[in-house]
Amino acid sequence: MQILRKITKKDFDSIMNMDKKEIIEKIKKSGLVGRSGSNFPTGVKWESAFNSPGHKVLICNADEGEPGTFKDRFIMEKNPELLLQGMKIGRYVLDAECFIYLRGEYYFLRKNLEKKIKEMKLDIKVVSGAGAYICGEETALMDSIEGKRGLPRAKPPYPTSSGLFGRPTCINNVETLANIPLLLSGKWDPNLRLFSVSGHVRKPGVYELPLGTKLSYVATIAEAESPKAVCLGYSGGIINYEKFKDLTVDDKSFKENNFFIGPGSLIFLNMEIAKIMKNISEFYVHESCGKCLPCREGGFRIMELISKIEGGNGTKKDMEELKDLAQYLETCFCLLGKSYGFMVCSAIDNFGEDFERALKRS
Amino acid sequence: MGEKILLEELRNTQNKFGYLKGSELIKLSKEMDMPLARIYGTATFYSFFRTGKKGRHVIRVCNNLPCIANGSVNVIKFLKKELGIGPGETTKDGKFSIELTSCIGCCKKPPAIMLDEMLYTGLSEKKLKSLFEKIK
Repeated sequence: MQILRKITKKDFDSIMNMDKKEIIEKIKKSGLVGRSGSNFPTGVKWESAFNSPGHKVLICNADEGEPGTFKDRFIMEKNPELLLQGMKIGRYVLDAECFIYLRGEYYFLRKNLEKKIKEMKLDIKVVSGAGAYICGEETALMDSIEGKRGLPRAKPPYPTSSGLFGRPTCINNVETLANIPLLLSGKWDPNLRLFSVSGHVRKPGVYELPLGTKLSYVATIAEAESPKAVCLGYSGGIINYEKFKDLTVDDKSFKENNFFIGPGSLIFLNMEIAKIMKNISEFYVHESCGKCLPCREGGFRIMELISKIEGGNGTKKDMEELKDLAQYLETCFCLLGKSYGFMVCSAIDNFGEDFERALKRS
Repeated sequence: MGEKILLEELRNTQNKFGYLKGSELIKLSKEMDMPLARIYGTATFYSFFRTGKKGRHVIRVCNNLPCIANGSVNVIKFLKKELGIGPGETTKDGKFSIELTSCIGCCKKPPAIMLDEMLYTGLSEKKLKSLFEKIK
């Protein structure tokens, strides 16, 4: 696997001898984009931080919390040196103070990470999260490190101009940072992505596959058991497998059908859509930070309606209210609430007949 | 930046006292020169922090789809049989509490739990029995 490659000392020293601006240009030219699902061009983010005045901060976002996602854990377990080399390069280019925000659930990784940091003579502070999905949102993450409740901030200002404690801050996902030494040492396939495959499959795990792979191929190698639905994490939409099994997993094909690859999580399920949606709604209600009205109140009402429908007591009026609220969640302050609304819309668009059947039961 | 990180201070305090006592939060407020309201606000925001006593050991059962699809309900049934409690409850002897939790990233070996700060995966009945023999 490309992501498990070890960079030779010779190659790494060459990178550290490059001009800082040259490194940024190379990253820009490579086309590397944020692997958390943001798809934001990494080189542009680094350049923006580089050009901002003040003492910079580089934060590795290791708060991987999207259900069905475990690729960052895989990197930190199997090839932590690659991640730390990526951070060392970032520290050099940005002359930045470095942090790793490691989700509390991955506390078991902390000792080994800190040991490797010491071995590599790096100055990186590991901060443990404490069980809040919203802290994976980059602005909430910064508030969390600052000792506050993890509430998202308005953008602008963008973190690269005013971030942690007001300093120019570059926040990158684990997989993104791990790809930096790979792309700078020449031999790099930009098309390879890490996919976390789980659910009703016999071979769950992290698969490194090229973009453009067919969904049915993933189902075959992971040995999916009669999948009905494929949840793209809890934010990229819900694919009706029968209808879209020949869909290729790439940004263009996905976007055309109103799906998003996100962090590359594929949860194959042989389960009723109402039951799937009930769990997704419970997740979002639990993880909502409470800051904005549509997410806090609308999101809760959506959960009530879905529970009612799942329990066989849903009416046509409930469906109308559900559709309305799901669209209303587009006005949420941050991507958590917006994704919640999007998932509900995706379920209704792709599994309309199943919902009709669920209503007829009552 | 040698500044203290509140998240870390709260975790250390909780590990020391079992929960975030009011008196300790007041101490932290003085040490970190932060308003008590801010510290209390942070202490009550995160799932892992508790401002009231709970079981000495917290069992968090993953309650999202990859684990649900692979028998997390059996983990909850086992815990009910073994400890006599369900999610949201604490044993009478104050030793264990059970909570449902969001995905903990163990989808490769479901179903999974978090016990204190460690993850336990692939929890068949056999594995659960052996785990609880060790910790009970």
